[in-house]
Amino acid sequence: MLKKRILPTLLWKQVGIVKGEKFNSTRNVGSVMPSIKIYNRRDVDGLILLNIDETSKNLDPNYNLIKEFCENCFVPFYYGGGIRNLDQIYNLLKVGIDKIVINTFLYNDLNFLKKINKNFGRQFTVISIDYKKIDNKYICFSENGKKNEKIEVIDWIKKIEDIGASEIILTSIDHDGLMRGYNYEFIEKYSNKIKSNLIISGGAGIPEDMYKVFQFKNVDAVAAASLFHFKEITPKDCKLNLKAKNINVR
Amino acid sequence: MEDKVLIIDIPTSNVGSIKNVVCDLGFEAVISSKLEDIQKSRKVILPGHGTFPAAKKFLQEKKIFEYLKKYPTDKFFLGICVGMQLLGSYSYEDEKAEGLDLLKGEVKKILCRSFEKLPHIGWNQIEIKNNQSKIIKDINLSEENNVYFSHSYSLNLENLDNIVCSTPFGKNNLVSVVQKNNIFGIQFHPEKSSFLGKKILKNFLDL
Repeated sequence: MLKKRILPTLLWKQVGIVKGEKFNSTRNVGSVMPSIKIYNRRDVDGLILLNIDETSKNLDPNYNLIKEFCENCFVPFYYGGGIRNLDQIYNLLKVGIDKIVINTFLYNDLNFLKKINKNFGRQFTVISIDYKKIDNKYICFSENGKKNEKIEVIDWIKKIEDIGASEIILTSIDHDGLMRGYNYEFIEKYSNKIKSNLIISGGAGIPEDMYKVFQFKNVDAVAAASLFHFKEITPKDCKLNLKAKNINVR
Repeated sequence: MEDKVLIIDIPTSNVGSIKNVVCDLGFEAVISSKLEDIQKSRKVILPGHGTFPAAKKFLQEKKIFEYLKKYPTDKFFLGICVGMQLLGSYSYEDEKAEGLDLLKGEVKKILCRSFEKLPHIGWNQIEIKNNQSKIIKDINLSEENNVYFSHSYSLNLENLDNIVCSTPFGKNNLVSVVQKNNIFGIQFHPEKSSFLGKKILKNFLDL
C-alpha cells in the first residue's frame, strides 16, 4: 500500500534557510547544505526546497549550488522558485532535480503546464497553491503570498486538473509558521473534491497535527518546517506517532 | 570508457540524479547520447522521466533505438521507469507505439482501485517473486521494503518468469522489477529510494 508521506520544507533566501510567520520569513534558521545532508541521512520521504528570494523572479536558478545540493540528496527532491521556462527545467534535470514546484508563473500562463506535461510527463510537476481566507472564501495568492489572484482555490484547482496535474501542495498563509495546527476547516471542506495527489502545508506544531490531517483520507502527504526548525522534533518522531495510531507510513 | 557506466542522455529525463547516485556508489558515470559511446560501454542505464513517445522519438533521432533493440548479450542494460517501459513490445501512452521488444509485454495505464489515484506517486513496497535475480542480491526486505514510485503507466509481461519484484497497487499488482538475462528494468526510482534504492542500483553496477 502507498504510504502517507511527511515532507520537510526548506525556504531558501540569499545564503540561508529562513522561516517566519504567515509568509513573513525573515528569521534565519541555518544553512542549506547541512540541512539537506541531515534530512537525507534521516531518510525522509522527500524534501521540498523553495527559493523565495526576490531575485528568483528575474534570475535563473543557481544551477551550480543546486547541483551540489542534489549530490547530497538521495530521496525525492522538489525544487521551486521562479521557474518560468522549459530551458530552466532542462537545466534543473541535468543538475539532479527530479521534481519541480510551480506556483506564480502559472497564473500568467496556464499553458505552461500543458507544455511541461507534454515534455516531461504529468508526474513531473507539483503545483503549489498558497491561499488566504477572505470574506469566508479561500483565495489564491502568488508571489510568495503578496499578490491576490482573485480566484478561489477550488476554481483554480479545477482549471489545473483540467489540464492535468499529479500533485498539489496547498499552503494556508493564515496558518503558516504559527505552529497551531493545519487549516482543518479548509481540508474538511475541500480535500475530497481534489483528484490529484494532495500535500497539505502550513501550521504544523506538534506530531498530532499531522495525525489530524491524515484523518481526511484523501490527503496523501503533509509538509512542515517550523516544528522541525524550532522544536526538537524530527520527521521520525512524527512518523512514530502516526504509526502508533495505525496511519500507514514508511 | 569500458568500465564506466553510461547513462543515456535523454534531455527530458533526470540524468543528473542518476549520475549523482552512481558516483556516490563509487562508480564513474558518463552521460552521452552518442551511439558510439553507448556501443563501447559494458553497462548502460536508460533513465526514466518524461513520456514513452518523447523518449522513443529521441532514441530514434539519435539512432540509438535500433542498436538497443538488438542489445548485445555480453553487456548489461538497465531501464528505469519509462526506461523500463521502453523494454516492452508496445506502449499505449498517447497512442499505440512499438517499444524495444526486449521483453514481451505491453505498457498500459494502471487500472486503479477506488481509493487509489494516478499518477502512482510516493513510497510503496516491493515483494520478491524471483530471488535468483542478481539485482536483488542480499536485499533483506524485512528491514525496509519501500521504494519511491512516480508513474501512471506500467509494463504487463507475457512471461511471468521475468518478474523479479511486484508491488501491490492497482487492480492487478504492478511489475516493479524485471530481468531477462542481461536486460534489467526497474519501474520505481532507485536513485531516489534512499538506502534500499542504492543497494539495488549497486547490485546492477557490480555485475
